[in-house]
Amino acid sequence: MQNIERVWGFCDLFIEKNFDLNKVHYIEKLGFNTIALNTHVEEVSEEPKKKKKKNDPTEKKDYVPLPVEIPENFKKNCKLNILQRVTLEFSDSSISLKLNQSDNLKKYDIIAVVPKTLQAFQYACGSLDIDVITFDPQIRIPFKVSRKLYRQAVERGIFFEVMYSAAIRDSMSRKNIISAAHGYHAVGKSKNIIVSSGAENYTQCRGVHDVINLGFILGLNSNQSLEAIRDNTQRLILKMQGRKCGKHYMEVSHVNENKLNEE
Amino acid sequence: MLCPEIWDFPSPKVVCSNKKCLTLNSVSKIVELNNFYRNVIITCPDELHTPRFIEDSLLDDSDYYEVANCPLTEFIDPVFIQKFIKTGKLYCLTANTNCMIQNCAALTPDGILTLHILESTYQTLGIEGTKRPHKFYQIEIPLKDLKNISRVKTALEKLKLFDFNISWVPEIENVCPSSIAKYFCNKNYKVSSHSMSIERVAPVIKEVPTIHNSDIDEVVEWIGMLAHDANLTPTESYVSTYAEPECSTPIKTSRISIIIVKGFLTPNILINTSKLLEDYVKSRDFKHYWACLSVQSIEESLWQWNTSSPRIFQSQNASCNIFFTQESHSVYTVGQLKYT
Repeated sequence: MQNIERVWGFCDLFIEKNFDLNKVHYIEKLGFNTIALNTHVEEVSEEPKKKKKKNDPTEKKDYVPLPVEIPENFKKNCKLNILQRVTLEFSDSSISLKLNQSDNLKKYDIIAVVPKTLQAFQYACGSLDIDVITFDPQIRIPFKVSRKLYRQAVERGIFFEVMYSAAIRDSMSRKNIISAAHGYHAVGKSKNIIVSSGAENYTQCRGVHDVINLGFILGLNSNQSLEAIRDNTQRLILKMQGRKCGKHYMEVSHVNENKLNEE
Repeated sequence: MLCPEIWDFPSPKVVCSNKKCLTLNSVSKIVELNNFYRNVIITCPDELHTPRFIEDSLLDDSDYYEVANCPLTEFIDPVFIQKFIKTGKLYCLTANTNCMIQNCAALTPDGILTLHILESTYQTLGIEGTKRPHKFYQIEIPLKDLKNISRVKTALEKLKLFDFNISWVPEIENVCPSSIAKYFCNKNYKVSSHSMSIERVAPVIKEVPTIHNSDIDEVVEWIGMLAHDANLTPTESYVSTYAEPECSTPIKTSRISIIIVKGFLTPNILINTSKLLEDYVKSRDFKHYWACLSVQSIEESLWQWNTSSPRIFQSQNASCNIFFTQESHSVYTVGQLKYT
């Protein structure tokens, strides 16, 4: 227990994968302790079945690509905890088949989804084993978020994400983000909200205090704003660890012998 | 439809207090209310250089030590308690810890080890504590009167190692304060010694406002502007609308000397300096002469706003400004919580 505690601290759980890793120390200076690098998977329309000539008929491409490579020495030198996250867009429940067959999915820490239809949203809130429900800021959410579905998602421990750097980039996104956030406030009293950046480069990140204050515009009160980047993200990380390990109640890990007290 | 309120943003709460007509005793009590200060700014009007004896009181014998990777169980060792806690004043604070996201600890001269623990960690420890804001618990362990040592030891062993800033003031005169560094060194911990850093500022001014005839908060702001070497007379009001405090009978002098001392400051150093400053002010024959001692708190430390509020770890920014004059002293404190 002694040296295994990781300080998750303030988390920014949505950094685009094209973010220059050399500039990640800026995020650390802004006060964050944990980040998650995102890989976006767009919805691909089903290819018409074509007869395979010589190829092995059982060869199937993994729906989910491999996570972003992070050099080992970078991980050691970096003071931030770095997690891997995947964002999947989907419109119907056939996604679960693809996810079950994917080997690469297990390499990711956080699974986020962008439901594109009401049916998909219903499926995400009710049955999908995911961590975060998010939305594309460039378009309005195409369905109405109902109170019942929101509550169902909250009971299952799923979090709703609001990202802010798209609001910096583009005024249409700003409207969509604020309207989505207010929608979550109206429907769910802003429970289980996490605020993340979605930054593509280091100029789109903001400091911890700024993000907390931004929570006011997103419909969070001051307690909820702090929760959105500290407590809810820690609960999310706990849920993610639970999902990765499956049903368990004991974790065994190596303890560094040198650091034990000499009696 | 419930619309969130997005027009009535409350301004951050600032705690101010202004006390007048104080004696040195009451000033000492105010300084001693808290144990951990980050820097002190001494302002002496009508001086080219701050008097040597005042600088020496801050710099001589004021070294503090940083002990790296030390477990909390060291502090409940009966030998340690006998040698240091019962025979002097020990000031100890975890270095580089953020009290919003990490566990912190502090040892105060009254012999109480205060722990600031995350809720999830607290539930595993097994010692009683009190609930604090932002999902933290505070555990106070009285070391001078320690009971259930084995239980406390098992609990403290569960916490990780910390880096501490330590300063010890022995009761007996001829004991060297560095004995504490030697004690940790002998136990094979990495100990480094640090001394206070000093910066001397001699800004150019036209006259010095007196605290009798001007608002004390304006004089505090004026001193702050001088310490930062800021422009007191901005020509265009876009960047700065600062105006010097109005005073009907200012001290006519164009010299003022400011020193900024940074480090791990403890109340005993500040009280000694206060005594010297009081004597110095009495020795000057300017009417309404004053000298000021401003202390700033360590931002992530154990802090108590006043005698009626509890002493808790909070992320705050507070400053206590003591004005010494020939008749009596005034104290202006101002502070703000970083997270509400």
